[in-house]
Amino acid sequence: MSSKFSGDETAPFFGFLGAAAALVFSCMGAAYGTAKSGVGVASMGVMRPELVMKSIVPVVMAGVLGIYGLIIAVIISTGINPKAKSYYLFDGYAHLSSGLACGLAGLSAGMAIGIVGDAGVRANAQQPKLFVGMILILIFAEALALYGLIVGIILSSRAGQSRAD
Amino acid sequence: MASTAFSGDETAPFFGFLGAAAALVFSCMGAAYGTAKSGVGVASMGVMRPELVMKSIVPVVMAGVLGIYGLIIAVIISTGINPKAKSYYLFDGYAHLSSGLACGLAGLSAGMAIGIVGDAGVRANAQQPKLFVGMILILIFAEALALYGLIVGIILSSRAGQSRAD
Repeated sequence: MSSKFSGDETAPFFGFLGAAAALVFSCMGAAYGTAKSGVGVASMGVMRPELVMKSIVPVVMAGVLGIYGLIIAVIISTGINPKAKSYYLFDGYAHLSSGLACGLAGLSAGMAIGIVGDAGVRANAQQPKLFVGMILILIFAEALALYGLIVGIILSSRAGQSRAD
Repeated sequence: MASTAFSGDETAPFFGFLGAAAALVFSCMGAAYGTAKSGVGVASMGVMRPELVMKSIVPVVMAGVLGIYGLIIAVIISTGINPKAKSYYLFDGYAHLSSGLACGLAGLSAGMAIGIVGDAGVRANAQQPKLFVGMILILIFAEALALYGLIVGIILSSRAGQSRAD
């Protein structure tokens, strides 16, 4: 004798896929950012090794994107709890959109951080006054992933709000 | 002879087993790319600086660890699919699929990053030995992405079996 699923049976497909998407796309963006700026650091570090530690900033900022994806994935995962609260298609859709929003925004931000970081560290090696400008541009790129995190949190908070209890 | 009914949803193990396979396959793709790309870098720089080869194998080792992460998740998922002990529903299949995809595709991304950074890093390190610490630092950030995938994979696969009160 199996008990009935509390909600819509196929809804967790979308929910869990949202959690996976949040992490996977954010990690893709973080990987691109790490790789592209890492190559820039390696290239300029041959001639100016003393600037390497300052030039690792784009790599650190790219790594933060992975954390954003991890946060949303954990939020979604704890929100899928049919034993405590029925899980309907509404909730699955909310979680899927939340994961896609955070993940794909992180992917975009990671690509921007990589390209700007690569160009920035190479230019900074030739002109030290560029450091502040590079950091400023990287912060604007990082903000895009933050928007994704904000929208992801807003969307996943809509889950469970489809029916009066 | 009547066959006994499947305990749970019949098509659920499709998703579950595919999740286990995806965890390993994509992680290994990432590990392979990382191994290959940094290996070529080691080979190129080793011609002129053979004494640095053993230090420069670090990116290859870090890429290999990604395969281990995929193996861990695949084994966790595989032991979680046990209809004889606990009914296996679509919920569990979806949880395992997402767990495997999260770990595997994060490992793929991390492997590509490790390969690209490792290749550039070992070549630059051969010209400027002070770069070694910086290269290791960047490689650790790349490896952390696969670790996030492992963490989320473990969290998601622990949701399996939690869909119905026993």
